[in-house]
Amino acid sequence: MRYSFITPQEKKIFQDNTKVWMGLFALSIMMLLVFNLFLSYKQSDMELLKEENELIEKESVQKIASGRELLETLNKDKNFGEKVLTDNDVLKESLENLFELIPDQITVNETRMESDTLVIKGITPSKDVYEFLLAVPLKSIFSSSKATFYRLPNGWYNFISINKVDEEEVFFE
Amino acid sequence: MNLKAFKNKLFHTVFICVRFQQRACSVDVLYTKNSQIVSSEHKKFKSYDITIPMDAIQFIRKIESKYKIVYTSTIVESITQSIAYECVSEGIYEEDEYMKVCLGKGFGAITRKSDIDESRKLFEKIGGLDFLYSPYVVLWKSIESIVDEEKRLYLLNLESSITIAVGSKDGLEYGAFFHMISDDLQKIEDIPEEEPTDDEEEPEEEMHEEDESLEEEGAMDDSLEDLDELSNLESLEDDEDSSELGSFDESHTQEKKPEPPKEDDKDEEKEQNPEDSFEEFARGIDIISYAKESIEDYYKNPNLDSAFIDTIVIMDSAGLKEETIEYMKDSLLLEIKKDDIDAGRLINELSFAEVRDEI
Repeated sequence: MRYSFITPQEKKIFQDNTKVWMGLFALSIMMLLVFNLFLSYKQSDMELLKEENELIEKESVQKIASGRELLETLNKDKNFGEKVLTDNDVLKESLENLFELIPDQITVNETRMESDTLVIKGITPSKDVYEFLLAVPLKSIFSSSKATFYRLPNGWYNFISINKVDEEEVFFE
Repeated sequence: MNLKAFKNKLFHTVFICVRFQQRACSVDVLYTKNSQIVSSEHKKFKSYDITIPMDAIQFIRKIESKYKIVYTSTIVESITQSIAYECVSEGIYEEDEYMKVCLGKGFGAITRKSDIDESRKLFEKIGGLDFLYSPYVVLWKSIESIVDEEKRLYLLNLESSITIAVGSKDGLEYGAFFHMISDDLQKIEDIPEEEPTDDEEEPEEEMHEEDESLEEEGAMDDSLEDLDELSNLESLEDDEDSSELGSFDESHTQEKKPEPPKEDDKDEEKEQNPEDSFEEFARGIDIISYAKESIEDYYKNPNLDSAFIDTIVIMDSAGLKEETIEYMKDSLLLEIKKDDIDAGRLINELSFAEVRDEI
């Protein structure tokens, strides 16, 4: 029950300046908490980023490995291609040389080249023409050269010349 | 738990009642914690006018600096206050120029707002006033438990004022307030700077027996012989030299209540201050004249259903002596009963109850 003519003043436990520094203290703690939250968020964000980067790194490593494999394959292919090209050049040159070897009197019907064997089928007016004009250069090139003759009705001869080189001298692969 | 209850549980709540007396300022302190009274303290400081003396201000500030929740209270000391009749229920009511506190159905106390403002100004030096009570409230609260159907004249005897009310258990129906602090008296009297100590016995003045007729004019001079009868009165206790307020040690937890008058110790009779005896006797004469005036006014008031007053009940907080009471009985030819009260504590407990109700 109220009997006093006046109402009491509000009683403060803390003075105004105390409240101010307590407020500042609370504010600074809040700021630290907010900063801590921000750092925690950033840390988790960075961890996610780190995981993503690790995945990317793994993928990159895999890509690099597959790239290297591809490069090796390509290098092999390139080397193979270069070798084929070189072989083709050699073959072309060999064929050109071979056709230059064949004299005008002899007609070549078929040539078959294998890795170490050259088979030439054709017609020669006589065995001597073959022996003097074709067999000599063939023997100089190949390690062994054999020819088989079949007489034709008109007096010419079909011949099959089989020429072989040693394995060390193989130039057709 | 709200903030107030939390503060109440954690911190001491201190109630300080400041009352102005003839030549002193009385400070009653009530220490509470968790809605329980812990201890109380009473001090008096010399004061030559109605202001709080510097010693009391320092004492109160010391308490305020130690205990953060401190409520100050006092009573209205204005002669313009009176009994209010138009009351519906208990509580405070505000009118244009007046404020009214209703104590029950049909009665209360009324005082001017300007007087309330003046009381507030007195406490500006100590951080403001928190509770201001009408002396009629203090009187009613002190007699509330003893009033019955019979109408009596109740008198609240404070050091600074006399509050008179006629009433019964149905409430108060007549009231009068008298100031006891006289400016003229203060100017005339030679106020000593230091209270006389036990070693400095002042010689008792030889009194002359003269006519005992108690007219209001010159009654003090005519009745000096009664000083012999009143010579066993005790001097006012001045507690200024008491130890400083510290923690709640034993010396401060002791309640200091007005001691009952002693009649048998003749050694003390020799040591008492005759000036105090003189003042005591003068106060008795004043009370008689105020009681007479009030009873006459009560009987003459046509608005009141005046009943015969055969008993005066004095609620005494100023330490009236038995001799003075006997003298008053002889003068007024009425039955006089006296109950000792501690007005400062009562006011503090009113403030304590209001604060407790708010929690």
